[in-house]
Amino acid sequence: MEINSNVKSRLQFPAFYLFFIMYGAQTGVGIMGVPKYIFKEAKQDSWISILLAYILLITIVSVMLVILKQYENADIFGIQVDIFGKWIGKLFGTIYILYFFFTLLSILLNYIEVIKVYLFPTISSFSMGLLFIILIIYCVLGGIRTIVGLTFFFVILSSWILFPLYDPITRMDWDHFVPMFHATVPELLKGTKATTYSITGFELLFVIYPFIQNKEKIKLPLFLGLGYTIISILIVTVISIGYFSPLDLADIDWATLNLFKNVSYSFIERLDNLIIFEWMMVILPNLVLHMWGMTYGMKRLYKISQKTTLYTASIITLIFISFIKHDKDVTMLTDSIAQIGFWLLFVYPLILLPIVLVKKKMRRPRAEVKK
Amino acid sequence: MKLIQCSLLIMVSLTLVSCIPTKEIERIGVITSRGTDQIEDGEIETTLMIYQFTKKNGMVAMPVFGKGTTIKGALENAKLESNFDLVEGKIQLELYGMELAKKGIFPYLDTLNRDARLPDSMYLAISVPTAKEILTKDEQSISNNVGEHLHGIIEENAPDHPIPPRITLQSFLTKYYDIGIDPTLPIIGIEDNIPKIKSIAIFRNDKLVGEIESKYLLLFKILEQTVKNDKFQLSLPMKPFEKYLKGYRKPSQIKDGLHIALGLVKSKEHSSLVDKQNKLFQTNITLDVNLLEISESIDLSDEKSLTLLEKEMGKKIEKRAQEIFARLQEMNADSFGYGKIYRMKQKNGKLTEKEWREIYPNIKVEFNVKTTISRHGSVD
Amino acid sequence: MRKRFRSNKQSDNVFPIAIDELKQLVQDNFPNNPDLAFSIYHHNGKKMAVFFISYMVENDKIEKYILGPSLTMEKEWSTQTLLNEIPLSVGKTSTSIEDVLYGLLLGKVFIYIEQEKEIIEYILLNKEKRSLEKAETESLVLGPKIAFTESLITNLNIIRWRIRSTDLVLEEIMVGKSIKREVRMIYMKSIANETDVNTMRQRLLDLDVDEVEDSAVLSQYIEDSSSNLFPQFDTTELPDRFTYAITKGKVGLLLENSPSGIIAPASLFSFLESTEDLYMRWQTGSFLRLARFLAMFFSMIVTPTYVAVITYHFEIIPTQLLLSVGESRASVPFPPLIEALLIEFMLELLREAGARLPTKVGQTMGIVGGIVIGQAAVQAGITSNILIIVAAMSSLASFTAPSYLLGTTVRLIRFPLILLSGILGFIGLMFGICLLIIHLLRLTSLGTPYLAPLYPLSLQDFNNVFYRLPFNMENNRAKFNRPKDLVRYSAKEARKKQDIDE
Repeated sequence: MEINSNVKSRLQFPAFYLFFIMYGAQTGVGIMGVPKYIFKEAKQDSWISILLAYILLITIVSVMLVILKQYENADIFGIQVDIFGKWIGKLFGTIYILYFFFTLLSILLNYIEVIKVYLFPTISSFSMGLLFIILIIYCVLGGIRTIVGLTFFFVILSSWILFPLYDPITRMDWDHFVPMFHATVPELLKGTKATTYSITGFELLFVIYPFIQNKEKIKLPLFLGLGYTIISILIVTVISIGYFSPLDLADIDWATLNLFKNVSYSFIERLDNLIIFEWMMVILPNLVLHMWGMTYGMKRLYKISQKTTLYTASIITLIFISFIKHDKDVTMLTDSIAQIGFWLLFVYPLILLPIVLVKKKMRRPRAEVKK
Repeated sequence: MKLIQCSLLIMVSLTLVSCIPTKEIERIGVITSRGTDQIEDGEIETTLMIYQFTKKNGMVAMPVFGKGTTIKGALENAKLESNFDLVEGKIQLELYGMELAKKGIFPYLDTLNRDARLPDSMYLAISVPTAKEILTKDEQSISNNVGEHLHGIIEENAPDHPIPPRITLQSFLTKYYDIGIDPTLPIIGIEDNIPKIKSIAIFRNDKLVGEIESKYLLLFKILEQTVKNDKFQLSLPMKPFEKYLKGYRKPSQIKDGLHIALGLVKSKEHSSLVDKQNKLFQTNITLDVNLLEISESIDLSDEKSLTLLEKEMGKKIEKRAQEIFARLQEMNADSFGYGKIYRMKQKNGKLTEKEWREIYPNIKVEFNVKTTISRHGSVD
Repeated sequence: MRKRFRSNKQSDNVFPIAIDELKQLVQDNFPNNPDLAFSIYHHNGKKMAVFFISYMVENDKIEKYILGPSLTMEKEWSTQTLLNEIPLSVGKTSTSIEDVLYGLLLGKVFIYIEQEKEIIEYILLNKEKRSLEKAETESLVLGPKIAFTESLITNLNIIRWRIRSTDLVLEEIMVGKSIKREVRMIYMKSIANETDVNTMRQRLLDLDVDEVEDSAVLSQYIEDSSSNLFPQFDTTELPDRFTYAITKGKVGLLLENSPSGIIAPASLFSFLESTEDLYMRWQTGSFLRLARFLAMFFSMIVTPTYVAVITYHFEIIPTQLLLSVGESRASVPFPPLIEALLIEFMLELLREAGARLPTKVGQTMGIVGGIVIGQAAVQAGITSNILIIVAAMSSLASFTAPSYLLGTTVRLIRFPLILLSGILGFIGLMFGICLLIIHLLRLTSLGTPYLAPLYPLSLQDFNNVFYRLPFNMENNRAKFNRPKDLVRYSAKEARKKQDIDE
């Protein structure tokens, strides 16, 4: 396979959309329940953990950019094959694809779980899954242009979600944050690690990079997008800590959703119900981008047509969804994905970077000799 | 072609999804308020005020009763009695009988918290003597549903009447779980055949340990939070004001002291721990008031008389605050959250429930009330 | 198609030919056609044939200007002398019999002098047409009221009068295989995007159909994707709307015998634009345009929301409202889904009946349907009051679309959405909306994204799409039309300010 992917220029999109892609890919089901997990580790200093997570995120994404910049127009699949050779490179590529698949699955399962707990306890997972699969297939068939458009639209259309939170803000008890700076460093780092599941998704940069038109302008939208994700998580976590008492928060599965339970207006009550549906728009970019990453990866690695992968993956997803029924299985899957994601997304690029740099240095003299 | 595939898939899904239970409005009984009473050991009886819609009568409000050991169990029991599907999604008010409250209401709050389909914004209240009696009170002057009426009392009156702040499930739970603060709830009783807010229930954790009469309501609220736009009256001793009297009536004619009515513009409250060793707390209250009525003609154009009035008022309020606090200490219920202040001043920010229960009865609180009369109406 | 037509020219050159043979040839091609006038004249030993289809041409002109001068002519008849003597400016010569046969259908008169190499033709078209009238389907309060007619010539005349510029191109393209029709592709040479023009031309030339009934049909033949719900080309009967689009760099099509023009490329938002927004003050114009956007969304969403809420999500209605809704629903025996479908269907029937009936009866129809049936339905307990209000609001909102086509699309979309919400509640509604957005994202019009300028985002183009700025701030043409010349006038000049007393 070719290391650089030659993307047709009509498929490329401006770097500006990376803001939406990053936010769309990162924000999904994670943010619904993240306050609990961070709070468990870092207590009232959770906000520091989240800020640390931003620093970590910026570091990792910068590392990814450095890796990508060593090549002309390559993605992770090409780079791995270049570095590790055909077999191991393809194996690693496959790991990425599997990771995409299981992330997609965990997002879907978690969302269906929320629907079941909050609204329709008896709804069949299969039919819910089917609805999503239809949307995913229809969107991915439209190609990268539709996918970017969908991400762009849905991020904008769902951005109002944070506004009704002014209501819980007025009921917050700021005393819950005192005394400040009390968590130990390991606690803070554990909090940061707990954040990682909610901020995964940026790995798609590795795949989507060749599709960006003006690569020199990539940094600003990229880091702003990451920042937007972090700010959303920060807002939600801070409000949750202030709004719920510490003992309570440790028990609440979807603290973010519960924040909306008290919001009501003269024409509408129980905003949490609406928010859950609106959340479909939050997770769809997530699902679609992962599905696309999968299909594109398979095409790059094994030259399998994107349509074949799309349909096969959809069917497998549906099968998984109809067999995973208990909430503890969902939690287990999510936890393992979070674990794998941590190693694959936050640690692996750090290992990859020196190898790429060394290899490039070794190659240069050789190329000069050839000349 | 793709559209055909898509529509085919949609049709398949439609046939599959038909298992969502519908909740059409005309088939459900909407529970708006629920009363829970203890009947025997471990058994509870719930009184559900429901709205249902029938073709003949339009909207009907009626009570339904259910017995069981758990709230949900009692609900199932009540469903046997009703031909409508009783839904909890719109509960606005949860009433608990006095007896139950004395034993602790937390077991009955669990389902409210666990079931995500229930709202968080429902109000909690305690009823005397039983919730059933209050909710089934049939009174002409009350529109059609006692629960609705009570909800209205709590909701509408809260901003400008001296009753405890609206306590929703969520705020009750926050106070319950927080260490160093105890929740309070309004107590609803029957007076002149109409359900009314009678007093404030003081809780230690989830158990009712005493009550504070309604005359202390506003002060209680001022001590808890910022209060705006309210009215209250005070009776001050006549003695210090005698020299400022305008002399329409002789001091000897005045026997029962000076009565004044005040409009509260804004109150502010701030508590702090002054002496950690002696566990001495200080609560500063600033009141910005308007003079609305005064029973004797006092020369208010004199700067001194106004200052004196302000000072006397402050003293009086301080005294009453001390009274309230002494009673709370007696009940060992920390409704004003001094424990939270104490916790924040601890080195590691930790304080256990047990520790605080031991410390609390021995703390001292100094109340400093500063009142400012900003306006005294159109006459001096 | 056009190519073949040209290539035939060489092969079917039958001239010179004897007049009798020619007569036979023409009559063979128009069998049993009594309207074909074929007359033969003799003069100075020369034979001349004049033939035409009598009702396609202006007979008195033939007598006055063709037969008169030629029969009283002194000189000898020949192609050249006749062309010279006949006082008509549109004379041409032709050598192809195919052209002759087709020309008869276009209202041409042919004159042939025996044994000449060429045949003379004159266009003396006599076309029956209605006079110019006020626009019927797209009515305006302000601005020009004139509408296109079925006559292409008249329409071209109107357009030329509106855009008096040599820059305007009116390209002629013939479509239809067995029944040919003339299409005019109209654009501004220095503004319109070349790719758009070429794509459009290519699509018209590649069109392989027997005939094109109307411009609405033509637009369906040449649109980007035919399997979708939304119209991809704007059709209008208003010349001012048509020329406005053309001066902004779009490509227009006019089809012979069709009273509406096609504008391409179109975006979803261009269907909601009305030229009236331009004629109003910019504040009012902007407000009305935004109101129309909201109306479209509202129209799609409101009835499905009612169904979803009443069927599954009673929690989100505030208690007081819940009581009144419940009371009105209590007497209805059907589930909300059926109730809503019934009312919506009835409203559609009313609309359809109103459109089919003559104008005066149609108005009565609306009143009878709206008030009497609605009131009766509520009293009979078939529907609830609130649904009547909801459904009325939603169809009212759908009628605000300046484009009739989009209005019908919006009304159509409502039905699947109602069905989805009736079956799945808000999940279904959300699913429907998501599907719709994806659908719109995938659409293109002449290769331009359908949701431009929203996606791909181009903030400066929001002006004139979502709102309207005062004219001194509109110094650029919309970028998403990709015009050759973006700048309308210098922004600097427009911004020049005067001091107080100058």
